[in-house]
Amino acid sequence: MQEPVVADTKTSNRELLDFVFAWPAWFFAVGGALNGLLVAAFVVVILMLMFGLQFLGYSHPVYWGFLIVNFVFWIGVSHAGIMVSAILRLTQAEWRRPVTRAAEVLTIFSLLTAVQFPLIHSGRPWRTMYWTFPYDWNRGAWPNPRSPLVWDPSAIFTYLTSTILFVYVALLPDLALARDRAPNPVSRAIYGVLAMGFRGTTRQWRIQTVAGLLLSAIILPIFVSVHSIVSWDFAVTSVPGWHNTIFAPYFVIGAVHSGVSAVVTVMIVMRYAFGLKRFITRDHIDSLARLLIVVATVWLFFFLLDFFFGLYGTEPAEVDTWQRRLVEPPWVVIAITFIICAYIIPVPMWMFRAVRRNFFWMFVTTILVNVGMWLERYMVVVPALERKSGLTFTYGDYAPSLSEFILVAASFALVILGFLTFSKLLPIMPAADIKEGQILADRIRVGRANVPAAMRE
Amino acid sequence: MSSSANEAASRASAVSSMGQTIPTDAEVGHPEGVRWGMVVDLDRCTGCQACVVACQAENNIALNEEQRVLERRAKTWIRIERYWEGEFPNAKARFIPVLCQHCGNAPCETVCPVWATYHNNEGLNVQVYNRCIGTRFCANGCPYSVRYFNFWNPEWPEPMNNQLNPDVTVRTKGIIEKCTFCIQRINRVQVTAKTEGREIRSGEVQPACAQSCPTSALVFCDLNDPESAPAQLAEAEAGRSYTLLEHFGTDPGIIYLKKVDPHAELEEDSHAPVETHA
Amino acid sequence: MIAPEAAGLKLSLRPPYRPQALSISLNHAGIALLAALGVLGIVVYVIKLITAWGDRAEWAYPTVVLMFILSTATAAPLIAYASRMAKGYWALPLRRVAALYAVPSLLSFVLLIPIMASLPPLDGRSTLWFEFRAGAPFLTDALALAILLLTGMALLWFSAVPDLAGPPSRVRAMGRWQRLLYLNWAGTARQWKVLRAANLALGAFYLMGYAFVHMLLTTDLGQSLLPGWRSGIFPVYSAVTGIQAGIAITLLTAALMRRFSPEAGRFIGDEQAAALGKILVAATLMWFYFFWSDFLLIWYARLPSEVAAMQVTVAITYILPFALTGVLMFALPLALLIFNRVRQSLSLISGVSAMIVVGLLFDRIRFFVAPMANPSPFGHAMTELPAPYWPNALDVLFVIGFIGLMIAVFVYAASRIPVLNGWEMRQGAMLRKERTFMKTHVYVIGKPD
Repeated sequence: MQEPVVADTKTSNRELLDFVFAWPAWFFAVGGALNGLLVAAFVVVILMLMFGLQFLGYSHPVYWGFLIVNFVFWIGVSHAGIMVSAILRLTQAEWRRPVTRAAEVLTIFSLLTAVQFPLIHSGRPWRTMYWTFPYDWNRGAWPNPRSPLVWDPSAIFTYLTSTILFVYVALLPDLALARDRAPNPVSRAIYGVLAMGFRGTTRQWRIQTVAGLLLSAIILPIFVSVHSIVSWDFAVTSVPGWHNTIFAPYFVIGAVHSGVSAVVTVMIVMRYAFGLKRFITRDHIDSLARLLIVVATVWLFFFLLDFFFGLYGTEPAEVDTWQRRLVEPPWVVIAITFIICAYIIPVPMWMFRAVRRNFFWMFVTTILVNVGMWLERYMVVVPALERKSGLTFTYGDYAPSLSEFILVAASFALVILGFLTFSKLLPIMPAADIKEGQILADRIRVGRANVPAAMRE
Repeated sequence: MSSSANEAASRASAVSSMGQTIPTDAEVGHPEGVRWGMVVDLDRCTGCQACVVACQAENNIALNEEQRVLERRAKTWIRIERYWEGEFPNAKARFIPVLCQHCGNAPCETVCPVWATYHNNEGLNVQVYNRCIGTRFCANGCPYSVRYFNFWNPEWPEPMNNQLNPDVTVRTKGIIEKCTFCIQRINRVQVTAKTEGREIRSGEVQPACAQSCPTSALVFCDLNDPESAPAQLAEAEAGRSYTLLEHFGTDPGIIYLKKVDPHAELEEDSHAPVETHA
Repeated sequence: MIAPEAAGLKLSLRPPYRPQALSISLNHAGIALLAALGVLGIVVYVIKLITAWGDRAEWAYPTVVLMFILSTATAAPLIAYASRMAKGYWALPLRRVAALYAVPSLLSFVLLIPIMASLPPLDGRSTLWFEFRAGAPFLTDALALAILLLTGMALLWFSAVPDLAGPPSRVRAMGRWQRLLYLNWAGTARQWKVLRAANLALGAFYLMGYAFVHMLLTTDLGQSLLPGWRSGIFPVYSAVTGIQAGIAITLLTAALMRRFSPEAGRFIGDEQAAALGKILVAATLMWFYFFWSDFLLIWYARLPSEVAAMQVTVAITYILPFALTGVLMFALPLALLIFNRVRQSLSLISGVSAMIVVGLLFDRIRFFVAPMANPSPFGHAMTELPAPYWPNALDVLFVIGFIGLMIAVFVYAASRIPVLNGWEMRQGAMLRKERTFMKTHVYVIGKPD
């Protein structure tokens, strides 16, 4: 059923590289709008640097809110790239081919966006070198290795580095292709340098393939560690509602849920924006949707475990937290929206083949998933602080301010802008990979049926 | 520079030279192992807030205007928590002063990425303002919610700026602050004792809150000194003594003594908010 | 070795409608040994029933055996169903071997009844049932386990019917009930379609049921009996390590089959070891991941009640089984499995698998003996650490005998139901062909829906 893409090499080359060498008008319009949002966010950040964090909705004792939620969200989305590329590459799933590059690029830009947030969210961002990098040689004052906030940058930057390497290795043949097809000498020179002399010799191909496979295998433990460590930012404390041992796998699978959904959204947009109807087909989103059903169900199981074992100890503070999360207004609205968006609407819909193979409905449901997952992080982070311990006198409250909304909106703008810029400068579709898939495609006749097949070494 | 920063500097110098071990309590000059702490007798507390005001004046805490209190950004290193017991008209107000518990097993210390908060060798949980970058992770980790964040640079209108305590740093925006057990007073007494060549006398150190408490509900002491009056009090009143939120296992340096209510019904869990799971 | 593809096509059914010579052939000594172990298991079970009914501590080691069965025999069929869902062609020759473990996993139900009968009342201790008391936990757990086991049996039967049925004329000649049992199998296109759909749907259900039963039993027989032990990850830890052991036991069985059943052994080779070996590496890493996620958070947050529970299962009381678990389930297997040579050889990897299975037994000891033998399961926290409860002679005999019984039941089942799934292998052979590409030979794998 997973029909291979049918196009000869010439058409593939032209259509896959089309956007890199074209300048459609909408690109400038969208880019301009996104930049406008970024400027607004920039103003907010400057104000925060100059006058402190008074513009944010924090109060005693709720000191983490929207910005941390957004950080967790984008780290979560960044898990899509590796999930789709590395795991599917290792398991030799054929349908991964057109998906991989977009997913990896999404990883890079959502990671880059995510790391902004803990920085601007800290009280004195200009001093964060203490935290992320041990530079203070003379006083012998080092970062505190016991703090999850030190594990965080280590894991995230390792992940970022390896993802960039991963993308670059996969990009080499396409860079060479872009070099060969570049319309002017300047871009030819730039692509030429970037392609590092890739000429497509057997030896180069072998090294490129082996490097890709090795990086896939190495990256997987990193991928798991990143979101686990992000979850430990919360779970290592004794805060009721945060302190639950299920948090690490719960966050990881939630990240995959929202990340793969984001990939589907991005692919559907790309299909129309970049004219890739031939390469991004119903089969691809169908396969991703089936994967999503499994992921979403495991995620729901972990969520329920979090819930059950939160209440299991019947600690008053923990029960208060869950009551705040699920019952008290305004959280009850958020809780209902969250579970409806993240599971109750999308997953039953994905059970139907017609929905899985419909671009419009897949677009809607995957957007819903990410709305739900954003709210899920909000529900995890904030109510636990509002009901932090048995001292009811300090029960707090949190309401996001306009600044926080602007910053969150700008984070979306930043990721989209990064993605657009990448696709403008470099081939966003893995042309070499797709063409390889076309070569490896084959058919097997079984009785009267003619089954699509693929070669394996 | 505040004395807590000096603490950090002295500690840092001990760590920085490679191969040298961190000096023990005895080497630094506390052979007996001081652990500063407090005994809070809730039976004596009237909820008068004198301690709050004294703390405010002593430690250069920014003014808590009405707006600040409404938006829950007021800073009170020591606060009087008021709980209502029973239903109207038989309601009773119960007071409990809550300040940094200077936990022996502090949840805030482990999570700070930059060692801005750590445990010193006198049992104090110390905040180094210069190192703090304001991640506020410590404030989240603290079950007692006694850590406060500076959302802005504090300002004192004329002539109130003249009453600032020269011994205490004015904290800038973007960092966490909290009760220090008036570490500047502890240091002053220690220096005096040293120049006079004697030991610190029991009861010589008085933080502002304890000093100003009209009913002596707050008594500061060295918990490791069995001779000190408060330690003896806590011992004698063992039946009333407890620590706050015991089930968190934080080993607080503050011992609370339960209220004795002659009219109370014989129910164990009447202090619902401070109830611990026995 | 004959190429599995060609052999798969030749795999034919002969009366009495089993693939030729594909049952396990043991010599008399082996049969006698298994029979002796099986009888021992039954005898010890009966002795326990008579002498120790309702005595919770006496049922501590039987609980270990119960959780051992739930984590090996009940987990193994997952390989069959998961590989079917993910279209893992490499697993074809292993699917029936794995699915056959549904039969010995029935034994877990026999153990569950007396263990459940020895549990104290729910009031006064933490429980996942909260205020729900209608039959909980006894009826609910038994019901959940029964449904899981029945699903496993149904799956085994459904996937075996095309092999067992023989030619349509044979089924048509059967009596009414027997015909129903054989699903009226005539091999029509519609029947095949229904069969495939049923296999997929029931497989998914089995996977969910497996996780659910682990959640119920690990809390009712574990966490809820040890005050202060509150770990949301533990059910998942139990399920995931169970899958690790399920893979191990399947590999072990495959290796033994290659040894004892030459005909079946032709189909099971190093390809299966290599593919399943990769998953075993992942599962071994998962052991550490789930252990560490649990350990780190409790150790870091330092809540006294939780730390005390961890001291029982990890640090102090049962440190010996814990150390053995860490070495046998994680450190040694990982150190060995990273070598391609180990992973790609069925005999070497079966050695590692044996290690993991033994490690799992110790793992279940450290988790389930303490709660079952805990004299005071009520309240929010333990006041003092319970003393370790080591097995007496009867317990040792019980563990050996019952696991022996499990193996005996498996071997018996394997001798009644063909250990290779003929129809799936023939289908797989049709969808796989060898081709020359450039200068090399490659396999072409067909992927119908």
